[in-house]
Amino acid sequence: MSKVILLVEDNSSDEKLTVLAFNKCGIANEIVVVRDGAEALDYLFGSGKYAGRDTAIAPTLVLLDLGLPRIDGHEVLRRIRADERTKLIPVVILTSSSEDEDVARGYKLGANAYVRKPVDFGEFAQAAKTLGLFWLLLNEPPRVGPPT
Amino acid sequence: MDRRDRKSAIRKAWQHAGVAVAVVVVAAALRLWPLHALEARLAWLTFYPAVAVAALYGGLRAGLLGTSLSCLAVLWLLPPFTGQPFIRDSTDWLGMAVFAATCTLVSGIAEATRRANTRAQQAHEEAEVANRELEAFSYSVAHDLRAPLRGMNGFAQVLLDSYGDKLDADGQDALQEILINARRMGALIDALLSLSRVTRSAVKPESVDLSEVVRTIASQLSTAEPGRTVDLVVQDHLRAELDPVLARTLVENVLGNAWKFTGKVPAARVEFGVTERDHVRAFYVRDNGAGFDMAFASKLFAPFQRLHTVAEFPGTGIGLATVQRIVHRHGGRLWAEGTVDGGATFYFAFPRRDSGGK
Repeated sequence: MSKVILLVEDNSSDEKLTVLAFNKCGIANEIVVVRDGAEALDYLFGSGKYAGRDTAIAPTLVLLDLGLPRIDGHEVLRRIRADERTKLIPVVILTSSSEDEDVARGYKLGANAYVRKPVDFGEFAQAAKTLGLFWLLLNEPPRVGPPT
Repeated sequence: MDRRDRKSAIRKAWQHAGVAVAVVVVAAALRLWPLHALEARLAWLTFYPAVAVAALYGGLRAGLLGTSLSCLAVLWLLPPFTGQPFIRDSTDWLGMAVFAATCTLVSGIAEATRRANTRAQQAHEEAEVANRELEAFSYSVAHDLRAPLRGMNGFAQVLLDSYGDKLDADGQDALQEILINARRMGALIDALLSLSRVTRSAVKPESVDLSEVVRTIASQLSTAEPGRTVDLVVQDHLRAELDPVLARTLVENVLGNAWKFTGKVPAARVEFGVTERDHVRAFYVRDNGAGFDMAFASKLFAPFQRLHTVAEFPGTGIGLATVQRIVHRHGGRLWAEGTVDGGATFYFAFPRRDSGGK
């Protein structure tokens, strides 16, 4: 079964750059893009726009931006960690903020990692490569999905 | 005033009145016993401190109320208990008049003091609000500016990578210029954010071993530029009362400058120590690098003002502004001496509350 990356990003330029960065380092996994926190939760729990999606297939990795409209990144993370079906999914916060409070809060809410989006695209591509190689290849994903 | 303020003001007025009555009653009681031995002499003895207390607690109104009640007490309350009147002749009336005048004066002074304190408190709260707004503003500025910058930088890079071969040399150069400027803007945003962090963060001074901080930062600088050897001379065990995070930022900026501006010198030398200037104990960082013309010394610490072009030495022009802000937030002084190509020395002195060193 192919490993899916869920990218939660409201900025379309950042989205394109992230996809390009992954492509540039040869990561060709399917990247599902959602534009805000509410859509992210819809996807994960199979509701709203994504009603009927088989939630047994959970993304291998969630890349979460913090500054999202409607439901913000921290709230999304809280809800992901609060639900049995999704609480083990690896979540990497990918944001432009490097404020200490955001880093602390992210980890407190249960993020697996915190990566600052570099301004330089070369560095961004390198970061994407490092993330992709680790979480998609090296890391052993948890067995997630609804209890049988 | 809205209802909540009015209710609280009324409650306070009652509290002040209550205190005024209470102190006068206590003063009257004390005057009856154990001070009854005084008979009718020193009538106002206990009432002076009583009114002072009422004025200190409740300001002018409480003080005036206390004064009036004290006069009433001496005129009509005490005589029945002591069996003799307190005010008999003109001297006694004069005594009462002096009492009333003095107490009114004291109440006035107490009121003025209270008002001044309230104003100071308000000013402090307004400063806090302004500070919080500044914090929110600088955070969102840095954060929101980085996003489009990332976009511009990223797609310029993508253009160069994927379509660079379809462009002539001028075209590729134009893209490179875009990238260079984007990177520079990114560095500026980071430096500004760092500067604003210095302004809005709380200063928590503790005893910091500056020599240790200098050695740590120096070793980081060496690791970042392995090709260079810089002769570092450090006086050890020099301590100061500083916020540790800000102290680190200060040393990073000052030492970083020393490293940078000795980049073109074959035998680079950087010193850190303590000395005395104008009878004040000052730390210094000295380098033998490019130095500067003292005629431009006033521009040294202004943000964005640089004394060299970016081509000569890279930089944002914010480092020394940040250092100055840190030094000022600790109540200290910062100044510099230098000669062109003869090196520079940066001195910083903090208010005396430290230990160690000389």
